[in-house]
Amino acid sequence: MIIEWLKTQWHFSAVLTAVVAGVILGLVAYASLFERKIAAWCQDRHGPNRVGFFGLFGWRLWGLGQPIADGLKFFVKEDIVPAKVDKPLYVAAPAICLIVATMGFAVIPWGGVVDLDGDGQWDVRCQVASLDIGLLYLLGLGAMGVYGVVLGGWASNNKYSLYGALRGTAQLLSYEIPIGLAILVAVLMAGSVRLEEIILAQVGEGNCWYAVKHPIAFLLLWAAMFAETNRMPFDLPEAEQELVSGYLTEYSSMKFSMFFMAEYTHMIVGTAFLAVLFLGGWHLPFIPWLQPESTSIFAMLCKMAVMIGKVVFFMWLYMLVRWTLPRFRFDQLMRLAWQKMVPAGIGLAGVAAIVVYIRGSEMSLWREVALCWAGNVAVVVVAVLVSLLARQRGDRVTGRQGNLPAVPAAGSGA
Amino acid sequence: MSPTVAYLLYALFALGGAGVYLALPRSQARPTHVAGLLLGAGAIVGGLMLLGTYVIAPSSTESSTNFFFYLFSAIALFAAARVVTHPKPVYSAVYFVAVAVAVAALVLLQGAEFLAIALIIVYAGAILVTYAFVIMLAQQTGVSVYDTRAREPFAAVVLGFAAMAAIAGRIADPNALPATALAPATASLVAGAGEAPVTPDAGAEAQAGNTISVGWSLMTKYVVVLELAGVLLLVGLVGAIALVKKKVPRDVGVDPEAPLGQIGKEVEPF
Amino acid sequence: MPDPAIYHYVVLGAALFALGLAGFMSRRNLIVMFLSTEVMFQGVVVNLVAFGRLHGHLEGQVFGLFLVVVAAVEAGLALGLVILLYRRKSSLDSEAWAAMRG
Repeated sequence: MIIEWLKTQWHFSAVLTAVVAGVILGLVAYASLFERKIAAWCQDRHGPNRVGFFGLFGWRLWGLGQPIADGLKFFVKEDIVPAKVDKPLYVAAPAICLIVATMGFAVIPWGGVVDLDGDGQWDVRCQVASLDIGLLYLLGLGAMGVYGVVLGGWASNNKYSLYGALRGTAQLLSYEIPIGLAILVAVLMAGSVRLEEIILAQVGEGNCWYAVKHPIAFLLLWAAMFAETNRMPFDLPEAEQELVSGYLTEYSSMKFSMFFMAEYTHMIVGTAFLAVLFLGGWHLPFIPWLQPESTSIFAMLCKMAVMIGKVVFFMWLYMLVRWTLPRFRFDQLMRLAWQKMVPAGIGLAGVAAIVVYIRGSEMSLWREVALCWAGNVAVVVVAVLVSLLARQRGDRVTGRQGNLPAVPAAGSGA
Repeated sequence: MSPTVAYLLYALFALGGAGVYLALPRSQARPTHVAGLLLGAGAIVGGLMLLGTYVIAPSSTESSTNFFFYLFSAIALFAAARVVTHPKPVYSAVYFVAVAVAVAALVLLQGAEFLAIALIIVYAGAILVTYAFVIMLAQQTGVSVYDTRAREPFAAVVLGFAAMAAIAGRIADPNALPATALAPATASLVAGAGEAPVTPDAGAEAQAGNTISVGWSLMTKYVVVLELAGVLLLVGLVGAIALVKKKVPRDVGVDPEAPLGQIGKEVEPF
Repeated sequence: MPDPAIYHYVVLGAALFALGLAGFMSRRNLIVMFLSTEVMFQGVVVNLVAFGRLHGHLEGQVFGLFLVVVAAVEAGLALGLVILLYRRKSSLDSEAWAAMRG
């Protein structure tokens, strides 16, 4: 009965939307606890461990109630709207941020296709919307996501917020380009922009994950993702020490919390995206339930678990990196994007195009991987040579420029 | 279409023009502002509905797409009216985002998925953000004098809406356009009139989506144009960099102490 | 509500174009003037796609894509010019450039 009802794609999508929304909101809430726990672990302290569930059995449960307490705190705090802000945009900015970040979940394939009634034919896709433009949809959302930052920073009427917004704009626009180029590698290899077809092109006989074929492109996308989500070491728009939290300065209570949730949501979408494009999505090799041929409901649940596992793994890496690497300076950030990532991305896209051209239809997997690796290594070698050459010529590729005026010493009368 | 309907349509356009004229920024604040806007947008949407009622046989299939067409048309028109009438440039830019998204939705309703997402990525994503960037650098707070005073609003509105009437007036001619409803917006129209798209593998042909069809069309029939577009982008890139790197002096008579960006200028100290 | 036919798209495109034209003529802020031209572009895109659908082929959409390219190039160059003009006058007012008026 319920199975029959679910066999219609949009009924299934509606249920999936509810499930995903619940799981993701929970994940977002717990990501903040996770982050604080990781931070504590990195710094050799305990982290939040006081709050249990309403004193349930007197256990504290390693602080697992903390997100609920935080949420309640955000709800009941005073919502301060400073006097000179541009009110409509000030209110709209966090909403835009959160809505745009959440919309990304619509196209992510969580668990392949499902055969609900066991007749050997698959009935629905475990994906809210299977768009013909899936990948481009995510890119478009990334482009729209800038507005939350820009408008929030501008409407706050605060110098630091505006600087944060300007940094954010420049950073997000710049890093869209390497992201686009790294995506192009996966699209060229798969020959489709549908996310589920990109996964299918990486799994099964004679295929392998694109992270294996194009490790450099994978690293490029991953690094650019850090900048796109404003995470350390690229968190310049909201740098506490430099800009007193940048565009978030004037926000309090639930509005601040919405920006915060948007950031974590963005991270989850970004990592899911990474998993789909380069790590085979719901696929793990050698496990029978995680192959495209197995379409039972149990297999779907396994696939969803694997997908979420990959997301959590990358979230963990995000958090480790935060406590490992120092923040970039803004000129270094821009130089990294335009002088290193964009040329490398163009080179990698070229490599992918050449591989697709040469491989035709019957090249063996090993030869194809070898070809891809040769191309990737060639790109790295050229990049290293160019930067060595530039260093030899005296103009450093990164670092402060030599032609800045000297800072006068205090008391010298300058 | 009967001349009566045509004149009715022209009257609605005039009403829309009057609305926009009222809404254009003037030196003194006037309460007619929003009223004028609603008048303008309402008149045009009303015109659209009128057209639908009188030109197309009402027996045509009713589907939810119709509702979305009118919804997004209304959003696009209202937002476009706000773009040209809002006294704050930042709001103009934000409303333009709404125009771009609404137009992308209208394009999407016609099955052109790839163009729709290209519009969003290029317009809403890249172009508009850079506009917003410049606006913010130039004027952080407050409204400049030149933004609150339209230049020749009457002549401009008359010209604009006369152009509109001239374009739309073609439809008063019964032979100009076929009065049938459009073909259903399937995901893939055939690339090129009559010739089926030859996709690399024939199996995918049956479900070749809009992206594949457009891509195929770009890479075969229009490949030279595509290359030219690339060259155009390159020229634009080089030109923009060359322009902006140029150092220009302040003009005579401009206050040399005037800040380049007025960031934080109007923020009063506590 | 009746099905939208080609008329609807023509009128909608014309309305967007008219609004953009009126804005371009009457606004004095250089940036808003360019935004108005972009509004005109949007009207054209709507019409191109609708006529492509009327004829049952993709040429309207492909043309629309080239139009987006042109708009992007135009925006890049226009912003460069606006920044240059702003550096000279410290103002985005187009009336500041009336020196050659006869």
